[in-house]
Parts: sequence; C-alpha cells; structure tokens
Amino acid sequence: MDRSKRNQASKTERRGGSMDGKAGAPLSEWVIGVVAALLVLGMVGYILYEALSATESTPELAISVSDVEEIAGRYTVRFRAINTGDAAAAAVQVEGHLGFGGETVETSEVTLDYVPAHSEREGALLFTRDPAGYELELEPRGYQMP
Amino acid sequence: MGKLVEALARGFGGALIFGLPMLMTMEMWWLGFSIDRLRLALLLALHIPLLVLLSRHSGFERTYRWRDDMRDAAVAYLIGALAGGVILAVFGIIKAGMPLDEIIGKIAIQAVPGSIGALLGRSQLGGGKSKASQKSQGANYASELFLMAVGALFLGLNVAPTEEMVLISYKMTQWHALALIVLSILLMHAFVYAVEFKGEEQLPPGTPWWSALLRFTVVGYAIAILVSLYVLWTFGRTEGLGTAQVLMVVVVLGFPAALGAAAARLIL
Repeated sequence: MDRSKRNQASKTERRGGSMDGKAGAPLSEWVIGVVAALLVLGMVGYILYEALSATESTPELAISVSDVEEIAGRYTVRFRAINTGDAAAAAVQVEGHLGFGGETVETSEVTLDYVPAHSEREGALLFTRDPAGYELELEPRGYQMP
Repeated sequence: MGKLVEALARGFGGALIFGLPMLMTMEMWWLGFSIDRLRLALLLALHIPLLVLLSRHSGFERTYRWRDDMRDAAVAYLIGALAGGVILAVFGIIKAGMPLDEIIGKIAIQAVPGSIGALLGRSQLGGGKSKASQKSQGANYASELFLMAVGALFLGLNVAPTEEMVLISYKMTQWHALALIVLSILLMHAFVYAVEFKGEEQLPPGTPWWSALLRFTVVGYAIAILVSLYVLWTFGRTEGLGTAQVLMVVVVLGFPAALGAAAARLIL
C-alpha cells in the first residue's frame, strides 16, 4: 500500500516536472530490475555452462528396483529408470525377468514415454510369481531419440 | 437487474472464449485426477487474491471498494467453474458415476483460466468504458508487474499442460534454449516500446533504452520465468527432472509466458 502510494507520488512529480526518465525512476524499480537481471543472467549462465560442458549426447540408462509389493494377487515391482546421459530418451523399453537356475520363467515389459537427460522416471512391472523366490533382473531394452 | 444479467452474460462469454482452448485439451482433463491435491489447493487459494487484484483493473463494473472487488472475484470464480462444468459435461468428459474427487478436480482446474476470462469478459466484450480512466489512475509500477504476471500465467496455463512443452525441450539443445531466451527478451522489449508509443505514462520521452529494458523487459521476463516454473511445478511437470532439464522446460514455457506478460500490458 505504502509503496504504491510513493510510486504514485513520484510519478506525479515526473509528469509535472523534468523530462529525464533516468532520474525519474524510483530506486525500488531499479532494485527489482537488478534482481530480475541477476535471475535471468544466472539462468543463462547455467544453461551456457551446460552447453559448453555437454560432450556426448546419448542417453545412458540404468534401472533400479525400488520395492516389490503384492497387490490384488500380482507382484508389483516398482522401479526407477535413471538417465545419466546428456540426451533424453523416448519410448524406453524396460524388460524384467524372473530367472530360476539360469532359465527364465516369466518376463514382463513396459514402455516409458520419456526419460529426460540427468533425470529419472518411475514405473512398475507386474509378475504373477513372487520375485522373492527367483532371480529378478530389470534392464533397458531400447529407446528412441525424441 | 438487466445490467446484472448483461454483466453475467459477458462473464460467461469471457469464460468460454478464454477457457475453451483448455477445456478442449485432454491433458487438462487428466490433470483433473492426476494433479497433486495439495498443489491444486494452493493454486486455487492463490487464485483468489489474484482475481481480487485483477478485478481492480478490469471487472464487471467500476469498483471503488475492496468489498466490491471481492464480490466480483467470487462471482467470476463461480462463473468460471460453472462454465467449465457445463462444457465438460456436454463433452461427456465428466459424467454421473465418476468419482466425485475426479469431477471436482476436473472442474476446479478449469475454473482458474475460466474465471480470468470471466473477469476480462467485460473489458473485452464491450462495456469497458469506465476502465480507461480507472486504469490511468491506478496504473503504477506494482500494478504493471501484477498485470504482467497475470498475462504470463494466462498464456502459460494455455500450453503448460500439453506434452509438447517437455517434448520441445528434449528436441532443443542448450544453444537453442539460449537463442529462445534472447528471442523472448527481444520480442518482449518490442512490446514494451509498442506500449510506449501508445503513450504509456511509465516511459516518458527521453527514457534511455536500457532503462526500459531493465525496469520492464527484464523484470517482465523474470516474472514470466517464475510463473512458468510455478505452473510446471503445480502440474507435476518438474517431477524427477534434473536442474538443467527443468531450466530447459522453463525456457520453453517462458516463451509464451513472456509474450503473455508483454501483451497483458496492452490488453488488460
């Protein structure tokens, strides 16, 4: 309230008085302007740093199992797909196997829409057998460039 | 009584014109049930003071008291929700038998753009005669920034829910992003000067270019960036993203938001 009144007052002065807009702008406007400039410059700096430091541009995918839970008669294996590369991957295929003595007894797969660069996405695979009694293996099978 | 009906009709008209693009976007329907409830509640709560302040600038009628602005804001919110509910029902997107939670979520999220449209309906669809004098009285730096934020929010909301926002950010390299930042600021600055040519009080003749650039364009762009970040966070679009990737999406959404912020100073 107070500030808007002051702005109002300084504007009236400006309108009635001198024509130089430089001296007319109140200090608060300059402070806000400088803060905004720092914010934008910081963002530009970060992106520039990323642009200069990015070397290879391929996704690097890894799958890590978060937890296993029995829901409605099926075993839900939640996982995180982690992309440590500098490029986003689209249509990421994740396949899971339940193995027993070197033989695969059950497979399940899902496709994630996107896994962006230096980011992670969550998903889940469903199995009919309890993964606790088998060797559970999750791996990325392929992706598209977006 | 006749005037009231006319004002309400304009409100509905505005809610539809401004809200239809979002009513016909499927990601907005999905957000109705997928959006984090706390973030939705925060958006809906923050929207109340926004509408009250916006009503100061353009509303159903010339207002002198905050009480009137609050009433206008409440009516606009209601119109936005009603218009959204009716249209979604006609489209068959909400129907009986759906969980109440989903129906409320779908309508609530549409009430935000709809209510802004309802408030602006009056000034855009005629009847805004009292607005001009009202604006020049109340136009100061703070309200300029507020209007820029509303413009950024409005255009940002239009495109933020779509998958294209993130997809574009994946297609771009960091160099593209830097070019987009420069383009956004240049276009905004052009708008600032367009406003100046309209005889805006804020930029008296003789104002050096860097003064306008720093005080209006850069501040406006920073507002657009912050609003973009807020909208993306609200819609859960920043989940699991690394900082660099968040910045890329923010720059992409910042482009329409920046144009919205700049144009708001002409339109609102």
